[in-house]
Amino acid sequence: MVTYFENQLRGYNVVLAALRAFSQDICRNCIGLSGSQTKVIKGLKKLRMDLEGSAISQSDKRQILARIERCAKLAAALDVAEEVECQKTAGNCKIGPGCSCTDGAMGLMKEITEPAPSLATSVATA
Amino acid sequence: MAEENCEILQLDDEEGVLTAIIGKEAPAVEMLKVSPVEDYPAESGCFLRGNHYSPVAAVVLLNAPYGTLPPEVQNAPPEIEKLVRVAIETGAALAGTLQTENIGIEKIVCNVVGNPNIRYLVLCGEEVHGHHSGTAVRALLANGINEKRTIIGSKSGTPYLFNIPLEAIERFREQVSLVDLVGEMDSAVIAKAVQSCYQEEPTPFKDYMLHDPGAYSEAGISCTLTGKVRHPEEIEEWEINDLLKEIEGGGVPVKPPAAVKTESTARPEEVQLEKKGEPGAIDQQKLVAVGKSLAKIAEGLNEIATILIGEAAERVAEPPREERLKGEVWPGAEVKAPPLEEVPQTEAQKMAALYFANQLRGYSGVLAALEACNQDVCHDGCTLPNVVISVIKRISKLQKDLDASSVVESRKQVMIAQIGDFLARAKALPQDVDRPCQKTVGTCKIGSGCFAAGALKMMKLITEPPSPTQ
Repeated sequence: MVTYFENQLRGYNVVLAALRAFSQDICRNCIGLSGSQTKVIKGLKKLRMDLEGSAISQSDKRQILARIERCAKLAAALDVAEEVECQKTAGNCKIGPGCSCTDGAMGLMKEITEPAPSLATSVATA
Repeated sequence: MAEENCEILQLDDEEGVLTAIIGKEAPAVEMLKVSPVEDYPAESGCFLRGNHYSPVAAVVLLNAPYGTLPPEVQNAPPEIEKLVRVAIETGAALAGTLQTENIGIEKIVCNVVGNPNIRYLVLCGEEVHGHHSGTAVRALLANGINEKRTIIGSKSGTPYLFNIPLEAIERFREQVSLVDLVGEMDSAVIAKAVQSCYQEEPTPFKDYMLHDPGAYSEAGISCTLTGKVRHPEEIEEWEINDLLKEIEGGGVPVKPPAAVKTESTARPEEVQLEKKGEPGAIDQQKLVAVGKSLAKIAEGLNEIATILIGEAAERVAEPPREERLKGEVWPGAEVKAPPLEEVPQTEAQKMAALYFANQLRGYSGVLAALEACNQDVCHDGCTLPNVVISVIKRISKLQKDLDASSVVESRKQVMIAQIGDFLARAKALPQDVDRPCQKTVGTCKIGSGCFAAGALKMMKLITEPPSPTQ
């Protein structure tokens, strides 16, 4: 049960590190980074909700919650410009059709395949 | 003997016999046409406005891959703009572009239900990749929305209509019929479709039988987007229930007194603009509306002020952001993009410089991710060292290639310094491959995937330009 939350947090930690590196590049002004930041913040919010509804012990809950809060803080602190636009459209990003933030960094979450999503959801909402 | 509505067209007098050709005017067709609501068209957007007594609105799908157009599209591609213009010039009441399956459709609904004369929606242009807005419109008219305000049967990613009243959605579905020309880019076909819609007699067009049935039987609905959900594309499935509770607390659309009148029309272009209503009544309505808007603005400003005061207090209490971040999860992840000097370069030099700059952009993310992995159980595993060794080899190769490249010297030096920094960071990471796989040990339980290996895969996203050494 705890594994689900731990795996997700391990993933977000790596994702956030990559996003932070990209935020110091032209991605700072990119809708890709901004969208990824939103996805991470929401993902963490959902994780918090699932945690609250889960049957795991209070001490584990507190520990996981602290990690979620830490990740949420890092996500909120990502350096993203107020006005963003796709940097490919702006002519600054010329790496090809891929996007380092949405495909690359966010794609790291896809490395997590266990516990199976259906099981994780039922566990989290049990 | 003269009759009413008759006129003598020709009069001949031949040998004392008077011959007259008399024309009788055909009785005008009585057709219900009404005034749109006062604020019609209520929503702004990329559209042109024509004769508001016309029974047709044209929607041209604006096919542009997600994220490739700036949020405020100033200029649509010329071939799309042409279709919009043709529709208006042929007699449409409104003609514009549609890109998104949520806000875009909501704006169309608002503008259409504000004008009961609009009875057809001519939907044309290439389907919008990623958004599938064309199929979303088709699905909305065919199936409506479900209890989660999601268009039933839409293939779109986020076909949510959160910002408009349910009443407007239902009216939209009842009021208009779809002339489905998705995929059609021929302006002559669009013109023919628009033209067919305002014929008095049923007119065949493709599989349709079109004619102007007159205005919808009820007055227009005046509504604008509530703005409660400005980025529906960011809404996750699990958030919808909470969101709906908030939305349900909102107001209902304002219905102005209907100024329905019957007019005799042969073609929409021939109809004169009507006079405005009673000035006294309008002023009263406007005053109420302005009062409500001002109250909302005051409420919003109050909220902003509270937030700003809170943030200012937090900033006073907290150290600067850079200091706060130091010592948190990722050590040494600071990467500064090399300053680009304006030095004259050949095309080959530019492409070579771009290749190395792109590679370095990628490695900055890879290294940051690997450093985060190093703070985790990956530190004790065998994959992270393997990936680190691979990264060191690749960056070293990049350095050699850069040395041998035609990149201008000043840029080369900046990049070499960055490569040096990256190599130092990579070499500080574990390289002992004899460590056990953490999956085997039982500490890594994420499945068959691997964060460290996944981090290196990010480099595969960089596909342009080709390496200058190839």
